[in-house]
Amino acid sequence: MSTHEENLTKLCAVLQRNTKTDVVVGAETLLASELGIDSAQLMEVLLEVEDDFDISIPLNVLPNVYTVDDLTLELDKLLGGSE
Amino acid sequence: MSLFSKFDALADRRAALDETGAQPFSVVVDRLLSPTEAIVNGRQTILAGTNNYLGLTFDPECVEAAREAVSAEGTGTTGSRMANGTFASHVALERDIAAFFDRRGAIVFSTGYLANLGILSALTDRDDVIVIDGDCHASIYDGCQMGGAEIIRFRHNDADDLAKRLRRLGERAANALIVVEGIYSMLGDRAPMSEIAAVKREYGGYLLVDEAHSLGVLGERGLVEIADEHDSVDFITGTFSKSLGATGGFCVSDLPELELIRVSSRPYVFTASMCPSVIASTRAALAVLQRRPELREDLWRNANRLYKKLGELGFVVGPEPSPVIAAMVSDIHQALAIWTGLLERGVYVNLVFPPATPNGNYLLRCSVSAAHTTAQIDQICDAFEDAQRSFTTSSAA
Repeated sequence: MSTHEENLTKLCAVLQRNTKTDVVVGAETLLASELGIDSAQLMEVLLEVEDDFDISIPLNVLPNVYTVDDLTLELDKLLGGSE
Repeated sequence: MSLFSKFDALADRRAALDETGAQPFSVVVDRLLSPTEAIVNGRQTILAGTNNYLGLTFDPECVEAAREAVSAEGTGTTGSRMANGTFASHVALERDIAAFFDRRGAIVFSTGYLANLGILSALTDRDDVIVIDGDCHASIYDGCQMGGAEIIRFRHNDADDLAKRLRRLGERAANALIVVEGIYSMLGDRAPMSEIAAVKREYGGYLLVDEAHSLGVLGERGLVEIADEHDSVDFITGTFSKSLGATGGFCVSDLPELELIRVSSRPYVFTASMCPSVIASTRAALAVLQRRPELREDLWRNANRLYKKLGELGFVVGPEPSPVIAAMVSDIHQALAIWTGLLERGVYVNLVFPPATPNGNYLLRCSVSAAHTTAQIDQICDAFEDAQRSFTTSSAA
């Protein structure tokens, strides 16, 4: 079972290759706005995240996800890691 | 932060749009002339964005049926189906729709939007999971959200991706609800029905197909019919506001539990029922649809002609010919200029902005009708060519 830090590192790598700005993606990076992508593009990036982690992220969790770390916490739960 | 702060970004976008002079979201149809023509901005205009696929809005039989009903039953029901709003005609329409789809039962709703909202929200709750095509209509997203189920989307028209999502669900897949559409409203492409049905059969679960844009367009009944997948599909929803030229929506199913949805669906219970005149014209249109297959031939002849010609003009169009034909444009200035140019040349189409569109494109979305003449289709094409040329010339200047 992967740790939060491992999931965060892996997620940052996926987001970094999809960012359209100069931002260095980290835990506090704001999804969409700081990545320079709109909400529809973010949904496309999430499909890639899902494949990389071999999970499906329910849309229901997204309204409370603002930062990369918020998303990592959801990944932790979906991967059966720490609550 | 005020109550209205959330609108700030929208207001900025609206103001920027107004500065261009284009007003794609405030078009007023001053007077209808026919299913395919109207007076817009004082100009006779070909309507090429109305989803009036069979052109039945002025069909004499439908108009007369509505006229008789409004005289006999009044202008409205003034009540919900659960209270005083169920007339014999509502029950008759449900009987007609169930028989038409060869299904055990039907429920009709006041709009197509409410049909999806009403079925999805009642059918599922927080213990359930819904797997939807990413390009599904807003009514499907809203219905899923209202029910509170876990919502998972799969890549548009990708049956392998659907299978992957169901595999990840494990045992939960056997009770999942899969939702796809017959024809997708943005690009006019259709679901790979047989592949989707095969995945459903492999993993279990239930399958709902929204035939809003495919009823009366693909065969008589839609994609499920022409793909010969009747037995794989558990629920079909749709609307009366496109090929049947009225308003209202429906769900049909062979499952006896459909009747329980009727009494537990808030968008069914807590809204006024369909007006008698609308029911009457819908029933008449359903009969016309079945009696006059030549309408579908006319529709497809027009659709193929417009799709081919727009492609020849250099516009990027959807992946397959369809009565919904979207010319995709990546630049907002080009999209606004062509849309405005079309209107000035007497052609109305829909202008659709991202993020409502696939791949972030702007869509000059046409829908053709059986009632369009070949000459009208050619006028639409000529207007596209002319508006595009004007934009190119002005951009180069």
